[in-house]
Amino acid sequence: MMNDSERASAPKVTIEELLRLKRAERPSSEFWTRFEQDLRAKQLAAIVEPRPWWISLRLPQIARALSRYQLPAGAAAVLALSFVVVREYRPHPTLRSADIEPAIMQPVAEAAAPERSASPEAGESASSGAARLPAAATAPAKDLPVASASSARAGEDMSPAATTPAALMAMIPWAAPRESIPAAETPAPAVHLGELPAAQFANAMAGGRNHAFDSRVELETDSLLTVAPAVSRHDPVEEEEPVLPPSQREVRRNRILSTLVADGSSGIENSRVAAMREISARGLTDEKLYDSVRRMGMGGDRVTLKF
Amino acid sequence: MNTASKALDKTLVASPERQQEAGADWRIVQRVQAGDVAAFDEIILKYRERVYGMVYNLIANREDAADLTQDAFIKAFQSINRFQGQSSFFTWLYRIAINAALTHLRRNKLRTFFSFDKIHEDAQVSAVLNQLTDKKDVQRDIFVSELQEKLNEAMLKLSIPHRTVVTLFEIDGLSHEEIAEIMDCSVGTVRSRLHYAKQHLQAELQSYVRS
Repeated sequence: MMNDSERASAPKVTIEELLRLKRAERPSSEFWTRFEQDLRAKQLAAIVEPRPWWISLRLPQIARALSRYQLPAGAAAVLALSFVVVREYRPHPTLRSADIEPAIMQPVAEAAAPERSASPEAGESASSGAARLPAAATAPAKDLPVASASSARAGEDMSPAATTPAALMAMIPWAAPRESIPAAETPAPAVHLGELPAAQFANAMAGGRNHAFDSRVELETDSLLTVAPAVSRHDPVEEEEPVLPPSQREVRRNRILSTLVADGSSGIENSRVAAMREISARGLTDEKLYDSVRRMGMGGDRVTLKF
Repeated sequence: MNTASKALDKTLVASPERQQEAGADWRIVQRVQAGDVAAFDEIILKYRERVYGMVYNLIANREDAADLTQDAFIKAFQSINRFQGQSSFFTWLYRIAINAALTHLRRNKLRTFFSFDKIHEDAQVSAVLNQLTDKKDVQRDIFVSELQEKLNEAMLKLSIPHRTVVTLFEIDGLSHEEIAEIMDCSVGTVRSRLHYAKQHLQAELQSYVRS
């Protein structure tokens, strides 16, 4: 190694001469032999293009090997497709409501007739809308304590005069005609809307906004009027009942209508039935109400509506 | 005289030897472009040492320099149909090699491994070494190795443009005009860079260099 004193005393060269030493740095002949071989290999690798990946899959060979199974495989595929199509076939559900309604009304009317004929008391009480409708609405008796009590009281005094609608309505204090009850006293927020029939629900929903509809429905149909307060006095928390599917509600509604039709012959005015038919003809169906119920929410002491 | 020859006359007017060399290269290139692939071997044999020496002096690693030189030749072979003779083939090939070396230096900025070739002593080199030391045999070899290491370290301390100018001018012996053409800059820039690079090297190697 050269120390600083030796370097200081050493003869100096120019930078150009020093850089000439760099020019003398040359590799050996073996290096160039290896360089030549590597270069040839790289040249060949650059010339040969890489094969596409799909060629390595050998699709023609695979297709040739599977050619003998083409007919059975195709037949199996057609068979499977046919099976799936036949199995999954459904008739188109676009049927007119006019075609469906008679079909629904007929069995409901037939079911309502033997019910009346089986129990004469029920047949007599059917003439009174106040006692008949809660039972027809498939609500349990314990759910309607006031209506059941009034029915029991009506059952004690079973004179024909006492079973008339006017007499029964007079026995029930809250079943009086709506004209005598101030509108402000109606406890509308307590109504559990999922349990209401269509007309009552519409009545409860309309409130003060649709007063014309309210008066038409409530005043002309006494039977429905009697149901609305009874239901409105229910505790919504205790007797929360899941919303019935539209098909059951449809049956219930048609049963009520058929009862009203039958009652019309026993003394109730035909205009009442006509009004109900008009309502049903307007498309106030349970399906729409079902959708409306889904837009409603009840939490604590408030009712929310989504538009 | 075609366009390529006019371009060569313009760029290499200071060096008639290079002009002849450029003409010979252009004929070989035309043969390769015509489909004579084996003619490219002549170009490889002719320029491989110079290209390798230039790349080696830029990156100071013999293995990497060999790889980059091979890549430069392959790239030139693949692109030779695009060479229209607007400049000399030698300049074009050098530019490809320099770009490969610069890319390598940028990618491996923080990773530097020295790997030197042995200094082959001829009359000029021996004279320089004799001026630097009077030692013999093993001690002389040790001194030469130490000097070589110091020299390469000093070169690597230069910036890439300055290192390139020093390499092309002092080691490869190219003219200022050729360097300007290869580096795509003016001759004045080349001279300026060369001056600055020599100053810097002199400061780094002051124990060996006469001021």
